[in-house]
Amino acid sequence: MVPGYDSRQARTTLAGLTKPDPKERAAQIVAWAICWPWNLVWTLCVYNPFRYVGEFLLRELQSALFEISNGQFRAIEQDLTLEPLPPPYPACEADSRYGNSAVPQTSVEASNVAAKQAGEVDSSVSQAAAAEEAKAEAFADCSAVIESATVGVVAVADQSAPAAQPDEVDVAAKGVANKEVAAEAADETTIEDVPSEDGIPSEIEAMFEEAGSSDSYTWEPPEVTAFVPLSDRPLRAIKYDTGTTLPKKPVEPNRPVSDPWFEKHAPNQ
Amino acid sequence: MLSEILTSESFWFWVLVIVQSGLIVWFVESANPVAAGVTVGTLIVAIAFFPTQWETVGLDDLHEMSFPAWLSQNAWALLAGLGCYLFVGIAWATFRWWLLVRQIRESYERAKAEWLAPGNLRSTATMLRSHAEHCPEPTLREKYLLWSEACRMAAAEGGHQLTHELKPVWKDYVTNGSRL
Repeated sequence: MVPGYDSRQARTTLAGLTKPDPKERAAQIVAWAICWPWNLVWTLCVYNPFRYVGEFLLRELQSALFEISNGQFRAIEQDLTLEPLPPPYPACEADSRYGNSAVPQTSVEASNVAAKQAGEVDSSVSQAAAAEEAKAEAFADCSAVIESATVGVVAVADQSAPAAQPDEVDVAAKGVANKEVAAEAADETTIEDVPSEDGIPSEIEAMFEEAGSSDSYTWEPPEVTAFVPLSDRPLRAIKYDTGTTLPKKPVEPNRPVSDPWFEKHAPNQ
Repeated sequence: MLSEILTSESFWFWVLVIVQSGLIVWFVESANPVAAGVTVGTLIVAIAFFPTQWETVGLDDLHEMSFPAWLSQNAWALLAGLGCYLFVGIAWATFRWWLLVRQIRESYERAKAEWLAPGNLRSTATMLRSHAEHCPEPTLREKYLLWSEACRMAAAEGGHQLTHELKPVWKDYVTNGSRL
């Protein structure tokens, strides 16, 4: 009993309602079973079970009929449904899951690039950065939460050339609004959930219209972005020292030249 | 006329049946299976004192033979009848249990619909606020104020929906039965 309530006030029939337990009411059930003719007459006269039975049968019948209708019309309803399914990859759409503290990133990463000189890297990176800056600005306009775009390029020099240090070019889109786009040069460009507060600008919508709507019916997998090397030098693989070594190939024991037992039990024979 | 009725065996037989039946119904409703079973037994035994009514209940063979002989002759029929009686009784008890649960559920739904009416929610909110004003315990006062606000908001939204905020109030109402 919660203190503070006046227990003298009228109580309802629901007071102390609990789920009926057959064990607790075993005596009642046995009495029903023993004296069923009398209880049958009394129940028919007093409780009017036909109403409950009728409602129950009606509900069950309705449920069964609805199931039949749903089963037969499932395909038809799918044909007539006009609402598109959500796009598999939401691109630049307003998403309330991210607050203002979320930092959406447009990352472009380039790695394993052989560069002539650090200066050449800078010049080629500048071109790529300019392109990425344009994209970043477009998405910054789109979402008003993007503050700046950063292009990070990791360039690895030739053996003869001095190794270029990773350079990070800041292609500022500052003045857009309190957010940041970290764009790293790479073989693919990913746009991850750029939230929009004021909706999508018209130019971005036009860009999306050119690319086609991204619903599930018209969606096609994106084309694989071609890798554009930032220098004329051939690409080189970078060998990373992971600290682990491959297990050595087991050394076969010296085969005796004339050992009948070994030849007898040699495999593949 | 009246004396003929009062002296007739049929009259008292049916009086006995009606009275015993009333007793059986009473005992069944009060969940007393022992008393109900004893009453059924006494009713069966009492039939022996009304030989003119044996034909009425299908025992006219008892006029021609003794009770043990009749019992041995109809033993299998009696056993089968008893089995059928108990089988039907179990089926009836199952149905009666379903009916009982159904009635409880219906009364619950009705009470819930009445409680979730906007007018009742408003009065509940007022009463809870009054409780909160007169409650010396701070935590309890805060709870009543919270519940009052929940009831007020639910009433403003049209009621008839047990929201997440209303559930503790409703649970307390169901548990304690107090008219909030």
